[in-house]
Amino acid sequence: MAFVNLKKKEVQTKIVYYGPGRGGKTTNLEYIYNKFRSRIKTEMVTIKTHGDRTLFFDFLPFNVGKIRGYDVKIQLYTVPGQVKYDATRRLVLRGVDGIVFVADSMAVRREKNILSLRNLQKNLATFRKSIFKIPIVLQYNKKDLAEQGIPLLSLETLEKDLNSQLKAPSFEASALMGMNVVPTMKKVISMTMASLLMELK
Amino acid sequence: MTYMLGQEQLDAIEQVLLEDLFDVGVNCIFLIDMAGNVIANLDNGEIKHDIYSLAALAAGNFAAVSTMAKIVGEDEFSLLFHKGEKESIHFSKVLTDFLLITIFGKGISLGFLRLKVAEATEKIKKILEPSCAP
Amino acid sequence: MALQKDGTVDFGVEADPEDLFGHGNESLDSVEDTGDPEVTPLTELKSIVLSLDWEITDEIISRFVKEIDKLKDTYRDDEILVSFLGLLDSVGKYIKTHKAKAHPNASKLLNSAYMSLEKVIVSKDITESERNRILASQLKSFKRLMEQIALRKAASDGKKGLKPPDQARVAAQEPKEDQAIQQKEERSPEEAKERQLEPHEGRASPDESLRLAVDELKQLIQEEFKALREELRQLRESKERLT
Repeated sequence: MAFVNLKKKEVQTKIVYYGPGRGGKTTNLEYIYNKFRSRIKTEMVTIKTHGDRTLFFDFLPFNVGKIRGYDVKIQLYTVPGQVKYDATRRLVLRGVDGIVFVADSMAVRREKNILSLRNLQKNLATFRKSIFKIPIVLQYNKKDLAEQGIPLLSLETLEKDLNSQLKAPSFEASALMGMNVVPTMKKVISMTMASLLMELK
Repeated sequence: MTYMLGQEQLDAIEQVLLEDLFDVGVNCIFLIDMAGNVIANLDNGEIKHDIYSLAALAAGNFAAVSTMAKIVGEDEFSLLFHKGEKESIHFSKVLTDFLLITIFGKGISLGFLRLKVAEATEKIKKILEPSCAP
Repeated sequence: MALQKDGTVDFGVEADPEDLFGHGNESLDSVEDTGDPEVTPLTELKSIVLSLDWEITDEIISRFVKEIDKLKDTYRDDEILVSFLGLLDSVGKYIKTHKAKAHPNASKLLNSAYMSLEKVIVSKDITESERNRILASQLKSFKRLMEQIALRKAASDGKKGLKPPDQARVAAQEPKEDQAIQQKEERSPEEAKERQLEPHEGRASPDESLRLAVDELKQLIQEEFKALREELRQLRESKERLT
């Protein structure tokens, strides 16, 4: 849930990067953290397993500057993608205002993408939120693997599997290379802010 | 769901934190929501904690422990407290959506702190209630 | 055990096998279980004090006061221990009455007074003068707490203006100066009594100091109850005015 502080003229909102395990959610945040290091005054918080898999969440607070006279603070979170961490994903989703669904473009991950999106829908519902109403952007990650000859899902297939009903903005991306990471983030921020402004009217 | 707190409410909350907790020697106090947003915070000037990261972790921690409580058949645990050598942290739920977190040193006993926190929580509830969705 | 004619050995079937291993006369009760903690007269009080460290409720404080009464009877012939228990009783009742409004140092004093009491009781070779010294130190802390309580009460009665949050850090420096001013301006009963006591204390014998301290404790309890009765009366009156 977004918090508007009328005293400090500040808005705080929460954006969660969701998706199947090893899809690139943490990599997205790491790229943003490295790119905007000068603007982000604090360290990125990561709670990981020994195998470098997200255990609880990653967290990155990000000041986007003034919008309509208000300082906008975005809290970026990722969730652990592995199936066994469903309870953890649910609690990190609490109070979410906007979502980036990071899908894995590898052909072998097709099923996992679909299951993860359904899982998101189910977990949002526990907070009485609808996947169709919440600001959401889809990112089809790992496009860089095409150069290595690894079979990837086509944009058409990904859109059909994941976006036929949602009709959300989507980006082909490579979090590792930094391709479309920032545009994805900007899109979700602007959608979240627009939704917030609508709600406040 | 978005909620707003006005100047008067935030001033009133800060007053409660100041009088009931800060004045009895608590080093750092912050009120957050369950999404990890910081609503109010007070510290003794010597502390340079990263409040935003603490808030995110506190919300996650509290949520994780609450989930564990439900798994073992409890509605919720009545005490969430981490004891350190020099500093300890106490969590207290305020209504359903907020958390009051106090960081205190050896100068205060946990028992006494819990009394003060209970008192402060009641006052903060009354300030927050008008802003919360029914 | 006897050698039989046929060459076999009779182990004496009728005999208790335990006897064969020499265990027959030992009682299991006398076997020391090193895991058992030593039970002292303070065990119950210690457990209550530890509980209070975690949670202050009416039930636990009542148990505390009851246990103190019991120990006062146990140690009635030992003036020093009775004084300790009187001090603990006083602080306990203060916390019971005031709860969240109690001075934060009251809990600290409760713990430190208990630790000192335990030391005085448990230490085997402690001298009488050392016992007196420990008690005197706790009484000093007790007096300090009373002063702090009196100052705080005087400050709140004076309806001191509240400081805004961003001056909290500056405010932390001010109380010492305010206290000095308050001390000159306001004379609390506790302070007045202390001023009366001061000329004598330096020349008083240990026994006399003890007696004075006990008298002071009694005085404090009476004053606290008097203040409480007054507050209740005012509360009743304001309720009557409203109805």
